[in-house]
Amino acid sequence: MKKIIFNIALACVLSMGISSFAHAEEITAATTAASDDYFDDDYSDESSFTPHNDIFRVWNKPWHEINDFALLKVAKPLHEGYSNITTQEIRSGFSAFRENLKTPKRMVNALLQGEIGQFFVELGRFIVNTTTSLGFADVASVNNKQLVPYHPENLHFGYTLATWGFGEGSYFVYPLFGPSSVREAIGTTVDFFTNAFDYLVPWYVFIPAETFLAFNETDKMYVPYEAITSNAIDPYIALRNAYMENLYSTRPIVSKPKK
Amino acid sequence: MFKKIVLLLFVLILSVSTAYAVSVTPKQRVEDGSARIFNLLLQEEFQNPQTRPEVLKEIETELISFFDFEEFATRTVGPKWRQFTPDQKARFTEAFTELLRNSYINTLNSYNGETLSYVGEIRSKDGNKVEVHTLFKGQEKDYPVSFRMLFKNDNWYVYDVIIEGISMIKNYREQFHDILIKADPEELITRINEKAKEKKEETLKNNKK
Repeated sequence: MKKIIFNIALACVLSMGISSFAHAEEITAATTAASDDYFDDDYSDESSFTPHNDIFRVWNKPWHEINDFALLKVAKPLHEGYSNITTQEIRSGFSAFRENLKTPKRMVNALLQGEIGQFFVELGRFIVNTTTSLGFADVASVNNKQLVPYHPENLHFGYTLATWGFGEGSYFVYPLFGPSSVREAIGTTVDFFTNAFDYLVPWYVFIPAETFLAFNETDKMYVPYEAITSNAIDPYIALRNAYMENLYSTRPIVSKPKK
Repeated sequence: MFKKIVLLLFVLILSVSTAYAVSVTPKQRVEDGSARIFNLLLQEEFQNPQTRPEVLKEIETELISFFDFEEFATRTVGPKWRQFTPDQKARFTEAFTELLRNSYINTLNSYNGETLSYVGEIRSKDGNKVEVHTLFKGQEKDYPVSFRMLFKNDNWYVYDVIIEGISMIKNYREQFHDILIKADPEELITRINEKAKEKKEETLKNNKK
């Protein structure tokens, strides 16, 4: 009898031990400690909420309405028609071609950000993609053996400014091109000067060609746009918040000098 | 002697059950919860318009046991929540939950067998809140998705979803803040009800196609 009790007791202790041990291990696996204000989303927390900076609201709001109409009532139906008469291969071919032409812009920004590895990745990709397919296919990504992690999404002048310590600045809405911030708008303007396509062909070829290439991938704009605004009570504010929060979440880690 | 054994058995069962409840980690909770919903979405019954409502009901049951809609709703208002009367609080929560329900139904259709994979987590200092980071593997691109969860009634519940750095709570909070500067809670509730109704009609229209 004593043995039975002993066995039950042992089983009891073991089961507790094992499960709590497993629990402890799970926690340490990938847990990072949170800073004091990390979970600052309680409704009771007064300091937790400030709306995003929007000093151009008087300008932004009407343009938001016009852009909304242009994107959902003009560009989207046109693009849906275009999708019916083209294949996915054709569309992604034009996308790759457009991306390849932006290589000089990314190389310049890689240098400005001190990302020498990215600079050579861009150079290699440009040579491979241009010589094999004039840039219409992303041949360089086919085998996907990466020596250096490739992150082209950061290689633009807005991000370069961010690595130099510039904040996002106020929300700003471009006519037709949509949401931006002061820093990103400056970045886009500077990047315009390193657009290789513009130097290769005369302006009367560049403007319609670039318009077509942008139209070719309009779905990359209206799909997330609708996901953000269609369930919103105030689509203008919802888009402003989504744009700024996304921008903020992708910002580089800049060590600020201590006061 | 017999009494002792019964007592020990009781202690054993108790200890095992509490150990089990504690050992459901936020990670397991997210993996389990998402897998259940994804499985339902992949069922043939979901594609069939006649059996679809039943599957939708099952999905809703899963969502209710996975999300804490009340915590979600109260947090979207922010500090002004205290100015709401108990009646307004109840009607707001109901209206907002209805809006969420009517909005997600449309997005379920676009599910195409994507999966979620665990990346890591951040825990609050008191251990009652956790943010689970995952990667949603899309067709062309992967999206970082985080779940903010809190420990309540011996289990972890999701109260916020953060997609590509965009928190759903913060997104609604900024909208509601802007409305509540000029308008009273009544108008906010009316506007949410209107939007929820609009989404419902949209779903009915889509289903007829």
